[in-house]
Amino acid sequence: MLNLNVVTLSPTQQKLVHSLEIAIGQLMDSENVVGVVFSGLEEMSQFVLQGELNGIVHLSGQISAIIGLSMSQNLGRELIAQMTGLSADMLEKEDMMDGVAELVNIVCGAMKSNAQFGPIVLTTPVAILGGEITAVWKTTLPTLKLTFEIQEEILNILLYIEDEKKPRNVD
Amino acid sequence: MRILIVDDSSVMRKIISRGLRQAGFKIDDILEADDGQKALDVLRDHTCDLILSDWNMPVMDGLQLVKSVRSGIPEIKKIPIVMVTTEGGESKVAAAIEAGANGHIKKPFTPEILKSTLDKFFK
Repeated sequence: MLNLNVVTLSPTQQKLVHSLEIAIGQLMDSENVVGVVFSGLEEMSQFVLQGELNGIVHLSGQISAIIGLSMSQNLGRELIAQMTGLSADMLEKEDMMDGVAELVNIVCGAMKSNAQFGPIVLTTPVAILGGEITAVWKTTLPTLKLTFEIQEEILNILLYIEDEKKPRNVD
Repeated sequence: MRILIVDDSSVMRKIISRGLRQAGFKIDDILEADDGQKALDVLRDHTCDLILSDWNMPVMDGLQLVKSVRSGIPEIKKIPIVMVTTEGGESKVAAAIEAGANGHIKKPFTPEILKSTLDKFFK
């Protein structure tokens, strides 16, 4: 069961976490993936990606943030196979790189739509593949780690909010 | 019915192809291009009934593709164009429609969304 009591969230964090949860639900619904559970939320001191498959997008504008997805090879392969209609065994490295980039792009795009903040620009997505890789961002504030259980595998989403501009008055 | 899918992600092109099949559309041929310029190249050599285009692409983006098609030769300028993109912001959608796009589909999408948005172009 999800326990949010251990992490105190700012209103912006709450909005983004909720929007990410909805985005994951929308993505999995669109691919008929069932059994998706938002099972954990914790605060990390660093933004570290060390899954077998990782994707990153930066947000700038009303909010400056980094969002990272991290998952196992098994889960990524199954999701990308489901999305493309190809057999998981047929997916080549280029498909996996493209697929991971597309996954993080779709999740962040859906999150942006769901959150309905002011103007936010998403960078082009980055995919990092390889179980031996650990990517660390030298952040100055804590990072939130959202954990989703999907078909007995784990999908982690890291959320680092660097800065939030105050809403401007609209004339 | 021949459809041109324009997206720099080969995976997304496969996702759209699969979605169209799942939505039950009768499609004779699917053409692909990974940027707007290559889409224009494809359109020079092939007839096409519908274009589904991403927004953010290298070389030539989706908005520029819409403008180029709409200002192009008579054979291509009336081809319906639907944007398929993560950019769901109202200003971007409005810019695409103003440039001549005929619709917009936000990722992630279901076959049902494809069906309801694209049905009119298949009749």
